[in-house]
Amino acid sequence: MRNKRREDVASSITEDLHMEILVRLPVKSLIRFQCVCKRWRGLIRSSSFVTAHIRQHSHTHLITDDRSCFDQVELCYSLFRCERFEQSLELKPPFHPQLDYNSRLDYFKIYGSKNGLVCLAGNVMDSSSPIYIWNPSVRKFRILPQPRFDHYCVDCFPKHVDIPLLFGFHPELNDYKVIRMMLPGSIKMEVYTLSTNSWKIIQVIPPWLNTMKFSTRSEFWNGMAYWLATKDSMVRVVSFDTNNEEFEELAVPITILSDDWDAYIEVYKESICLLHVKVELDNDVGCDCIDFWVLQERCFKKLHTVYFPQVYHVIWGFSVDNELLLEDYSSDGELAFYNLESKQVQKIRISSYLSVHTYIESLVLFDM
Amino acid sequence: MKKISVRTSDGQEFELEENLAMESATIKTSLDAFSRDDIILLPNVNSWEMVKIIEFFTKVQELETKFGVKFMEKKEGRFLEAFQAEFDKDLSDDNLYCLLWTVDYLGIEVLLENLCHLMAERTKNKTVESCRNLFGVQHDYTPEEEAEIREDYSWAFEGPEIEE
Repeated sequence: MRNKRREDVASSITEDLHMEILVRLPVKSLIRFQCVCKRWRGLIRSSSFVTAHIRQHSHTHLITDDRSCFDQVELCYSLFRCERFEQSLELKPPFHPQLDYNSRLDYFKIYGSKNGLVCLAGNVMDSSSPIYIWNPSVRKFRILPQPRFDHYCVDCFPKHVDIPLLFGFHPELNDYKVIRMMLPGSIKMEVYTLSTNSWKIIQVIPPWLNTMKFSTRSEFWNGMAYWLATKDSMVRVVSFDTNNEEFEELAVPITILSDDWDAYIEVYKESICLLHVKVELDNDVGCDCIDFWVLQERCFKKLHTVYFPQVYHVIWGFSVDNELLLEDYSSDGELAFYNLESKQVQKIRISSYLSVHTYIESLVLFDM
Repeated sequence: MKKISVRTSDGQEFELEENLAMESATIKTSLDAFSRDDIILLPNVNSWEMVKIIEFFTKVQELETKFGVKFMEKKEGRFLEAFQAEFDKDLSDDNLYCLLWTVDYLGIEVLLENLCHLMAERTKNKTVESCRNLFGVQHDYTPEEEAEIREDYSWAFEGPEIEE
């Protein structure tokens, strides 16, 4: 009786139900199941499926640049599954950029990781230096066409600031962008769009932009780019809307009292926030405190202050579960997660890395 | 608590608590249309499937009491683990597939989500052939077409985790 039932079910089961199961499968299985039938192949490659799949796989990994590979010719990245934080995969990218590792300025690194795409580049000031967008899960990558501007000239500009590339996702357009800002001197900017595979020069650069002193901290969120800057000893955030190509200066009521101030721009619970790190050296044990400022309607408001018992050094942003990723300076640069609500610190035995980013498996670029 | 009576395809009758019966969109529609005293006929549901569904509701209530969380209202990781361990034991792939269809028919969202997750876990390491059999899908590639895909993505067909 069960066999008859099985056939009845098979003939009346809907594609929607198949999709609900497929969408929960890991990428490797889906790539294999392209061979099941042509309908499945079409489904797996469709844009709606790729988006639905991303939504199902949001809690997964951390990807790190391996410090041990700094001296080697081959690039190495490690993937760690969240929850257990054991190395699940060592990744060797399928491309081999020609880079000069002797130069301190010229090292290859991850500039951003979003929806399973990782943006990597070497020296971003040099237009001949390659920029890649890579999806390790589907093993596909794209080399970006050569950007237009090249400001890498040590003789001309001895005090250049290496502004990181900004890489991010634009949800309304379901597209990915790379932003390259060229300093110093008169600021130039260009934006790359994945769907058109082309760079666009931003023609209108407001004069006030050149009065800003840019830091290396930036973030891309919801189609907008944000850079941390200072002006007249006050902290400023410069925003750029990739839709209308407009810049805006956002005031932050933080006065810089000394040269060693530090702040980060990150995304927390779908809002841009500023983390102002203040090291208090009054105690015998240095104590870090971080002021959280959140962007609400083009204005930064202070949310609260967080104190850390030990000295944590670099902040690597927020995980998908809204926990702060920190590098524990006191224990050989080991990673730690800090939960803002429970105030719990969870140490993870991951060390020896150049950078850490959250990473999820996805099918983006699969149809390339 | 009011009890709702249902009769499955093989003539067996079951009593469900009203609030649990209402988790099924199909049963809810029937209840809204007819009197709550009538027996609801479910010709597309087998008795063994009904047993499983009641088992699920009982388990949910147990876990809700234990963890103090309303699992029926949101998807919870801990519940998924506990659920999987219970349901996985005596359910063959084919039976899971049938149950999935039935739960979809009955419109019990949370159970459906969990079953889809369970089905994905069962499927992920299968070969293409066994996946095709399980889902009852027609093979429509020519040998050349299939060979081309297998060659382009050979890495996806290799690995110790893939069942033979």
